[in-house]
Amino acid sequence: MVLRSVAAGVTGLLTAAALGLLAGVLGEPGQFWLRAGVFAACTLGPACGLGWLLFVAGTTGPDAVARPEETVEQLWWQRSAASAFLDLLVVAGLVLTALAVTDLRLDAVTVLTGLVVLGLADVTVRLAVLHRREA
Amino acid sequence: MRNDLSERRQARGWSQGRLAEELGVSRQTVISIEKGRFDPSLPLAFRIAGLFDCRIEDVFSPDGG
Repeated sequence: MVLRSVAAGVTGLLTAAALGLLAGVLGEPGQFWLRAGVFAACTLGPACGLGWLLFVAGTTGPDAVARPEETVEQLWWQRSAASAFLDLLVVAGLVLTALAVTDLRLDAVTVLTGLVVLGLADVTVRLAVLHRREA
Repeated sequence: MRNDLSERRQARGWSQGRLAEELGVSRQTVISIEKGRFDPSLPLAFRIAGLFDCRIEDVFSPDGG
């Protein structure tokens, strides 16, 4: 498990460094180190998450339960994810309607970032509320 | 559903953690079942009944029943 965690961390570091280098190379000349540093720092968290998914998520530690699919935590996760998905659909629909009516043009990066942040925050809050309510 | 899982567990002198280990689920799951806030799946209900050597309906009963 320790080895897998280290592998996940190294994967995160390498991925973030690669993305930073790519952003530096593809950016305006003279801003290589600035772009590389900012992109590497900003993608380090998600990149470590990717490493965790690849090396740790599919495994179980010594304290893991034998049947995780039958736990109340699994129910909480399913409820939170399903509700957050519906929330995202509603918000995306409302934003789309507003943009169509007002004829505004938004940057796709801004819109997608907002949706990702909203989805993550939605699931996190819903999980926390369910846990607090049941505990 | 209402249940008497807590009484049966305490009669054996088991902690919630011990029961969770026997059932292969988390301690929080046992807590939620005992409080009546989580209805277990049918396979888990069968394991609970088997563990206490009784029928499912001996442990669980409908809220309105």
